[in-house]
Amino acid sequence: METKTKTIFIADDDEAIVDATSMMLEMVGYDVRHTLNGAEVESGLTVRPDLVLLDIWMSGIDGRDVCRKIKADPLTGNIPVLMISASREIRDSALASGADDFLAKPFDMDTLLEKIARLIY
Amino acid sequence: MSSSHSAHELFKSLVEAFPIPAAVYTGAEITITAANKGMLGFWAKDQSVIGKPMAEAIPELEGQHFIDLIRQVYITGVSYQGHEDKAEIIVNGELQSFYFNFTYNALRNPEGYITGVVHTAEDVTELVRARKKVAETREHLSFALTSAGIGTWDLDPVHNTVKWDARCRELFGFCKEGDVTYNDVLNCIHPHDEPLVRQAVARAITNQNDGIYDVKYRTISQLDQRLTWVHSRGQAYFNEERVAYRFAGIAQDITGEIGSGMRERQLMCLVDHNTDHMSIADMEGNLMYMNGAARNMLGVAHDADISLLSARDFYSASEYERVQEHLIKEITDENGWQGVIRLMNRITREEIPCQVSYILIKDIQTGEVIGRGATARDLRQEIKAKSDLQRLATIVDISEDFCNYCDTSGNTIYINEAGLKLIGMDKEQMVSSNMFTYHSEQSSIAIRETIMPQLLSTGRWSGKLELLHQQTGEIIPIHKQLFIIRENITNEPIAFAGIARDLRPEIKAGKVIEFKNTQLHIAIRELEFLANSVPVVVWTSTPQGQLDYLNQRWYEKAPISINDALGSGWAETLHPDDEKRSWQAWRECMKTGNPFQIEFRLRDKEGNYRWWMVRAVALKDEQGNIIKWYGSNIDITDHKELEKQKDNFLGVASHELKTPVTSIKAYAQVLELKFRRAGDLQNASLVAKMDNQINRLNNLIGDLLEVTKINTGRLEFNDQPFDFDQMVEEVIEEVERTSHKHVIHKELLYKGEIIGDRERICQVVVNLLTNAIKYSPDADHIIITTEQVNDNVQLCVQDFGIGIRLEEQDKVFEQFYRVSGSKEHTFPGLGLGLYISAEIVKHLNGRIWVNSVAGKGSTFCFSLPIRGNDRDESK
Repeated sequence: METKTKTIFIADDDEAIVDATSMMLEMVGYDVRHTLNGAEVESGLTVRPDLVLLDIWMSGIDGRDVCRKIKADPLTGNIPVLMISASREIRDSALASGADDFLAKPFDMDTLLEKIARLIY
Repeated sequence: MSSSHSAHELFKSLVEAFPIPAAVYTGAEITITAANKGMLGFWAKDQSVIGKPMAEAIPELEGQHFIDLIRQVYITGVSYQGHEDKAEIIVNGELQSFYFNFTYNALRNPEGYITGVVHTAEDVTELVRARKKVAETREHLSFALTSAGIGTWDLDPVHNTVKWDARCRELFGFCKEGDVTYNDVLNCIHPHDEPLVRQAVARAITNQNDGIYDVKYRTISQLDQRLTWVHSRGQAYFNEERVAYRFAGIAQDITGEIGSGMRERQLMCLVDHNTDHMSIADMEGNLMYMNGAARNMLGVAHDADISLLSARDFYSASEYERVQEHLIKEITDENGWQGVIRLMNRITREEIPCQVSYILIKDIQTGEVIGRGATARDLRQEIKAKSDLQRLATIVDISEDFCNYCDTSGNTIYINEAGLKLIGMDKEQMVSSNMFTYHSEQSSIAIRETIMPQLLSTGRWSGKLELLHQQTGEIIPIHKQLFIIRENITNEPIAFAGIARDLRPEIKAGKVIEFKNTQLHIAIRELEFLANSVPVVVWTSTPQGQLDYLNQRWYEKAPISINDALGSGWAETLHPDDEKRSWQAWRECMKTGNPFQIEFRLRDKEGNYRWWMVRAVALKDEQGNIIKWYGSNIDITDHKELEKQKDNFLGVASHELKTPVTSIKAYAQVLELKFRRAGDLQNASLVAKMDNQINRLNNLIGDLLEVTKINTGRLEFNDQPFDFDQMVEEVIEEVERTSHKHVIHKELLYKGEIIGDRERICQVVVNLLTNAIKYSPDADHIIITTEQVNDNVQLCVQDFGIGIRLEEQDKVFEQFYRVSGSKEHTFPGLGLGLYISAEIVKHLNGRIWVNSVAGKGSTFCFSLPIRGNDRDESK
């Protein structure tokens, strides 16, 4: 039985991070989509990703607000959200906004994959 | 003849039958021709007198005027009537007086010739005698009243007229003759007493008080305005209609009586209130009288019955014997006795020396000695005054000031020793000197022209003068006070007294003080200049914390003046958020005397708050008591702003640095994975090393970010319960992954949860463990323990590394401090890890410390409250 490739949607305004992380995830078999614009996150979700990797600070857009919207929408509310940020202190508020987990930047690839796997499967 | 005879007989019969005493006389001899029984009864004679001449028949009438009167009527024919005439008649052999009303009428014949005299009489002796008696009685009464100075008056209440006798007129000083009216009387009465009299009269004549009138009042003479005290008594009489028809009485002069009573009262008042002791006792010493002063002095209450006391109560035994046995016998009629006796207060038992005068008191009638009077003057004040005077004289004698005493001409009477020495004069010279001798010429002129007139008018003078040294001629400046001495009784000036102070030492000292003051003022000016020149606010405070000096710098930025800021006025500009901790710290320093250092905000002229670094130290005396606080305020607002900018910069920089680090790390990990998949393990290893260095860089950035947060107060905590030992286990596992050389021995004895920020506490444990590994490069194991100590959980990490020198142990928790190792070992890092750990522990209300021996290793510990609920937010 063929297993469906899991899709991960990355939302981060730093192109290098998106690029490196995308490579990392594609190397282990994930289908990766991304956006550099916080305002386009909701439209990106039409592809029905299996997980959203969401940065908190995106050029004036607060990822926690975006997360609250995703979780509030019945169509997207069941999509796991893993929030990433350079600030450890934001962990609690990130979880409070509905995120399923939090990862501080910079992160180990193993830790990232472990958290993603735990949320998807 | 016979007819004439019968007519004669008829006439005789007629006379005898006459109802009233009657007799007929005829002839020039006044022969009694006929007399009836009534007349014979008057004469106390019988019928034998008839036919005899009257002078013969009633010889006692000889010399009385009756026979002549009858003869006169016989000759002239003119009738005579006698009224109450007195006749001396012998009755029962005794010449007695009788009074008669009688008539002598001529008896005429038909031709009209006088033939005889008819005598009729009525005995009015009883009537006359009764009247005489009334007159005599009245005369006696009048005499008695006059003798007693009593006047009589009679008021007719119906017509309001008054009858006065002469005495009454005199008493009332009334000069008008004749009847007077009631109003005239009232006009003579003293205006103050007039209502009293009116009322008393009204009461009497309206029959109140049985019509009795008794009143004392004053009259004022209309002649000479003399005042007379009158005692008037009377009685009103009433008719059947109960209307007063008469009101009469007497008036008596009682001026003397009133006067003597008043004098007696005045005298007693004088005696009672005399300040000297006055008493009267009988010769046995039994007291009869004591005045107020005597009672006060001897401790006798003013209402005490002195008859129960005796003189013995007021003397000591020996003094009583001296008085009773000796002194009383020495009291003479002429001079009494005077001397000093010690009386004794019966309450306090104090013996009081008194100047006593005794006199003998004699019975006025018999001259017998009936007692002794004593006056006593308390000598205590005099004795004290004398003693004081003596002391004063001694003080003057030994005074170091110049004291002199001159008569009103300036001739010297006395100069004390110090005075003589000051002017270089001996006692012999003093006797012949006067005050102008030893004053300078200028002062002598001033004394004559200005000072003496002022002394005579005001009694005293003070000011500067000059003395003249009699041997050296030196002019000596003095400050002198002069007083005038007056004779006690006449108040005439008799002398001048002076006291003078040599001003030379003062002038000298004054110059020194002036010099020093000048220097002091210069020093103060310099100090103020210095204080105002320094670019900080300088202040001083009392030991109680009240500012008493501020330099000019204060007002450059402060919104209130220096004067308003002194005391505690400055605190009005203190930021409300800084008040509590500032006052706490300041009060603590005032108590301990420790140096004061704090940063707080004060409002400036524009209403903005500026940060100030305040430091103060206490100046203490030898006993360690604070004399004054010296402080300075440095404006650190700009510094604070720079720090904030730096922290902001570091914060932004750290955050921005993490972004490329994140992508580099991700690329490195992708690269490493690619090398591994391609079997190129060598390059994969190189990339793994690069990843480690990226981790180090990330840690350094993390530390900088944490410090920035600490300094800006933005380090956030999220307290919640968690399993402490489980957290420690996780940290150990993580650390062991990075260090393969060291074995971590664990003794985790605390089993349970604590309340706190798990992430932050985890950060501390990581820091302690990684430090232990880092600073024990030659050791192979580390020990970590947990346990409960009272209400705290305590964690310790022990290593066996390089250790820390004792003098450095306090500094390891400071920012940017780094322990230096031996030459062989250097330890990378910014020196922020322990600082961050210490700040976290402090924020969690815990404690962190280190025990270390250089070369042997260190044990770092921290303890945290298990319940974590006592967090001091102000930290």
